[in-house]
Amino acid sequence: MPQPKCPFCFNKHDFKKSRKCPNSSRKGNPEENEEIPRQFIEQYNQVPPLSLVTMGFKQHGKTTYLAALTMVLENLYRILPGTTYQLLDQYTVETVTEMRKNAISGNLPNPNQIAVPRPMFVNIYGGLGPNCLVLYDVAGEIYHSVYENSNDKYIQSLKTVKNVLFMVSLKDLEEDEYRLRINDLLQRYIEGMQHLQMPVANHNLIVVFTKGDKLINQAEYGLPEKVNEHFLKDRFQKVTRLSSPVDILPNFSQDEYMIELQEVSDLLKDYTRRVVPGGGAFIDLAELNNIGLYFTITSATGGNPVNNRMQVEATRYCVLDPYFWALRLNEPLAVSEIHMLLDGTKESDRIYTENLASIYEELTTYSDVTTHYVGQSRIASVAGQPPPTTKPRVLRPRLVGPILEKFDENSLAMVLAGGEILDLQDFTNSTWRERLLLVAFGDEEYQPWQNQIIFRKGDDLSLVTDQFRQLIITDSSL
Amino acid sequence: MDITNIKLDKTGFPMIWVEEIKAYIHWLPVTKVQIEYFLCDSPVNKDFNESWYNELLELNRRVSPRQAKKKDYWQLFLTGIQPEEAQAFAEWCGENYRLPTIDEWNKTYRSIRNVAAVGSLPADLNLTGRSKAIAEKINEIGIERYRINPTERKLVDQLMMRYGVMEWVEVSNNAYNWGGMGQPDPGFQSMIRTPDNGTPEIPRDAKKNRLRYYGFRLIYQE
Repeated sequence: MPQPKCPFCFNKHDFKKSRKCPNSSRKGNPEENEEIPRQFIEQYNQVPPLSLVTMGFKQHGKTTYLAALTMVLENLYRILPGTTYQLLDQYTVETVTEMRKNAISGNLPNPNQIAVPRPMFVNIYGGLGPNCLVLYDVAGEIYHSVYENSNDKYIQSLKTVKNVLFMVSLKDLEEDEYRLRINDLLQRYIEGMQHLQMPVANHNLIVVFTKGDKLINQAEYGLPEKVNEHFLKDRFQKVTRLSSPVDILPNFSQDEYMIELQEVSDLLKDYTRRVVPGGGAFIDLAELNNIGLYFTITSATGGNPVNNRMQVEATRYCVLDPYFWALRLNEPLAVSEIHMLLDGTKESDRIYTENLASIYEELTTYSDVTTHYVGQSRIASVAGQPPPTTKPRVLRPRLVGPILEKFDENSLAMVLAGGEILDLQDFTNSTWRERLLLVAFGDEEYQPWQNQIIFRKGDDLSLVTDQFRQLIITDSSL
Repeated sequence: MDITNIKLDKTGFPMIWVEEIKAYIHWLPVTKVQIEYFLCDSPVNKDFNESWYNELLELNRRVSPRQAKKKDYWQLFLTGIQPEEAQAFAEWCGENYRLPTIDEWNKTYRSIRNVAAVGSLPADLNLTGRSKAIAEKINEIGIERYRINPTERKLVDQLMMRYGVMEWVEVSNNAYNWGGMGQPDPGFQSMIRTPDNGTPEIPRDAKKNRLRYYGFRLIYQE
């Protein structure tokens, strides 16, 4: 089973010893460390995390959207009976209380200040769950200029998500006379991920056109009719208006709804390419980098605030659509097990000088990890047990075939080798081509293999885990 | 020989029933892939370790099934092994597995020497994975060898009793108790002999030296 990863510093700790993150200090109290909610850890596999990170320029509606999403989810039981939620820590309780207060008064939340974003933890149960929604609201200022090293700490949360809420207010881009374009935001994302040494390929951007109330049915924007219709007929729009009656949807089918969302996404993508300045370049750059794009349009308030205050009770249009995409794109990885295979021949000494436990720790966040010595079918370390730190007593030939063939078709393997694997080429035409990462310890490759990294002296082990993560993402997307 | 009566050995490679000896015999000489299961599965044993296998590979390199060609397909088979080591593999395979005697080998050979090759055989074996890849590759190479006179291709060629490797068989008329039957591809080891006369090659100093063109196949007899 996957092991929890800290939602604050994105590393692994020994949560049995303490739920406090040794690397993050509490907001407003640097003397105290952040504490991971007990339920987040204890129910990690039963209520898996769904992490959402916002990206967007300042005042494009990120914070307002997240507040609206929280409010909608909180009241979703009205339309989807059986849906319920639980706030997991004091910070989340306080934040949601503030949101409720704002919803009653009509005030909009204040824009987020530049700071390391502190996540909210909301467990969702019922028809749309179970999952633990972990929300990171990243301040928009950092996306306004070319990426700087000092920004790394603000966007660490991007490391943990495969799907990013990419929030764009087309109206605000226009009013700013397109000094900033949608394509600039994508460039900031790619630069940021490069700084974090994270691959972007096979990640997804859920593009959220915010403030949709300013675009829908406006002749000058010319949104496709089907998009207008989907937006205006949103069946969840009144869910937070507690005085308004709503229709219960006992037979709501998420699969059917996703078909509709896909159609809307296709239309908005085409619209973006044709109409939005920089839109074509945005789509092409994403495709060039193998980033998936899914388009939605929302309105968190349903109308214009005056002096940051709503004059009428908010109607929240299509606020759940990005969430539905996140759920769909976040579906559990089809990885049943991960196997580390360690070379145990004469030339393998260097492998054991590396901190193999750190690779193991990283891999356990995805699935159970077992370890074998290359050339030995018998398991060297069972799931839950770190890999051995020494070579086997009897040196075995560098063979993996008899080991790989015992693994099921949903498992992945990482082979760490100090020389040529004798039988690896036997699997060139098998699915192992996509499921096995070969880590060649040396200065050049020992043999051809599609998924391979040459690990030279002085290289950082994160190169290996980053490359392996790519395998997981690809496998999952397949 | 009953080509519809198939048994898979411990490694998933096929053996075929031979009525004349009342036993199953390996479809092909034992391959490197098969011995690799043994190497990986055997308990910690200093006799069959990395250097042992490297010694054999120096005599006859390894080729991947799909990459094998007519000029190097014998690299699929395990050679350089000594009879006692082959017996260790037989023991690992389970009870009733052993190397054939000269008599058993000859009876098998003679029973199919004039039987035409069966075109559908690799598919009929219903193999999977690497055993399938090897069966298909060997069949493909056999067809290529007899492309001028396809009717000359016999079942003995499909089983690689000809143009395979020299195979260890048990003999009782020499001090060593082991001899060789079969006929390697001349590209691997040229020799003017065929298995037709039924007499084994008796190698000199086999105990001291590994013979690069000597492999084996097993029989299973209850």
